[in-house]
Amino acid sequence: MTKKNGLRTGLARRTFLTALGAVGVMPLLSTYAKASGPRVIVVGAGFGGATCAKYIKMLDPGIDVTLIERSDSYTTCPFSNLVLGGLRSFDSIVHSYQALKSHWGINLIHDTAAAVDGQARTVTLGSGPTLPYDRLILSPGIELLWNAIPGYDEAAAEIMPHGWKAGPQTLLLQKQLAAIEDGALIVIAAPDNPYRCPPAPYERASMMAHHLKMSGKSRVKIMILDAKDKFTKQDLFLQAWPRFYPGVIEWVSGSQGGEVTAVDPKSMTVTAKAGSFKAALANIVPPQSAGQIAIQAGVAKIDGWCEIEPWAMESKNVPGIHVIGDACMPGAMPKSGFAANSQAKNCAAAVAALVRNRKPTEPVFMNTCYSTIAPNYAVSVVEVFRAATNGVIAVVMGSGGQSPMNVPDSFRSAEYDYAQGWYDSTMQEMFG
Amino acid sequence: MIKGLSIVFTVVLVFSSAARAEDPQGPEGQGPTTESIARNCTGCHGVDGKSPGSIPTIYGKSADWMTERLKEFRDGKRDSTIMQRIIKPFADSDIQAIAKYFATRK
Repeated sequence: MTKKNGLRTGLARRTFLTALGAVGVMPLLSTYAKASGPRVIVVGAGFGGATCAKYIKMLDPGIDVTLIERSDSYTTCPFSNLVLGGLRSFDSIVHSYQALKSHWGINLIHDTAAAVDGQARTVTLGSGPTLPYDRLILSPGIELLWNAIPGYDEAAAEIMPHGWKAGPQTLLLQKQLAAIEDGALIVIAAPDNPYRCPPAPYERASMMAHHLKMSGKSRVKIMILDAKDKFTKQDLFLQAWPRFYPGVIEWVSGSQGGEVTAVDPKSMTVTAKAGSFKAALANIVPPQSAGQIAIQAGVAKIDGWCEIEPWAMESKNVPGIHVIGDACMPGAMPKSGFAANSQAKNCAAAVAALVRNRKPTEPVFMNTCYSTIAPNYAVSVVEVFRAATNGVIAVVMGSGGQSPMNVPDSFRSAEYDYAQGWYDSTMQEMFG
Repeated sequence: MIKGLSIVFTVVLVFSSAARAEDPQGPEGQGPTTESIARNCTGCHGVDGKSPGSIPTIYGKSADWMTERLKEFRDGKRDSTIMQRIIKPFADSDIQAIAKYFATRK
């Protein structure tokens, strides 16, 4: 573990001020320029970044924390499927960053991180200025790999939405779902592992089916074309679908030819090994990598994801850069909002220690992931993780597991309520 | 004691750390601190165990009461949805430390 964490020198700060003067954005960054404590920059204010920035301030208000986020507000991917199902409003999954600024004193900069220089320890913003850091935390989420499925690019996503970054894509899917005619076909393309939120394609099918049920469109079919032969909570989904949505959802596994090999937005055709399907609504979830800034910073491997050492979530490639959330490849941990939040809190504690020349303590991580299949019917998967001696995050033996099969509905109903409770608590942790 | 927390990945490894680091800035090799375990609880139970929603609030309860509850979850003597799955690998000493941590939150 690297211990290169001393304060930036006066020289670095003077260079920085000159750079700011040159581009005339001094007022915007005045808080940053005046910083007296160790400087931590966090890129991306989602489940990882927002949590991490806030927890560093909770642990040590003397640390100067700058959070770089392009959006003015945050729309959560978790529960965006419930918006499609009509179980939540879109507004209820949009959150303000205001408290991070006003209550916690985080220097929030609405900009993009255009470049990272891990040697010089600087981040260059999209608008031009270059900011020095003592520690950098990257939580950029995912990049969708355009054309990994031939025909599926950014323009195609406006016709065949992915809905894998919540916001306008969620609203587009919602609009298309509402407009669908009875008897039509919906296709959901689910990618191979690893990808953001492993159970989400199946929760999405469930919530779409619920919307159709409530709309009285009983003849619409939902076909999940899957690159995989198995998926998380599979038994629980497959048991519930015939009960709530009989004959509606069909899952085509990879070995049944489910892998999507091409799409044509003009003809609304989705081609898989099993055949070509003309869809009224095509929800294409393409393969993914870590967010672009992680790749630019040199912390991603050839497979597109970032290897980290578990104690401080620090990059194995570039000292001083920590990677949390969906962008990292944390051993056995899935890419979930809960996992990102757990990594963020451990990373915050480690970084708060490192910038004060203390050693981090050993982390424990957890994941709890709820999937809603119908109103008052949710299932979960849980794991506890520790750092293994081989430098990866591993499941604690005997911990975790999925919700049991064949339990009374009161169990599923309690999990549905607790899913809402998890959301409320985690939103408070991120933005409260 | 973290004896209960062993891990499985490609191989099974058993942690046999000697003592818990009472000091949160304790050195490497002493196993996870109470804080590092407890900060996972707050993802569902809220910051400092103060839940804003449907999940039970866990701060300010008696440490003995909380210890008893957690042991009952772990040992299958009390019904739960996910608590049994979470608390199962934790030793008595971990449970007592977590209970004490949240008992003293204000």
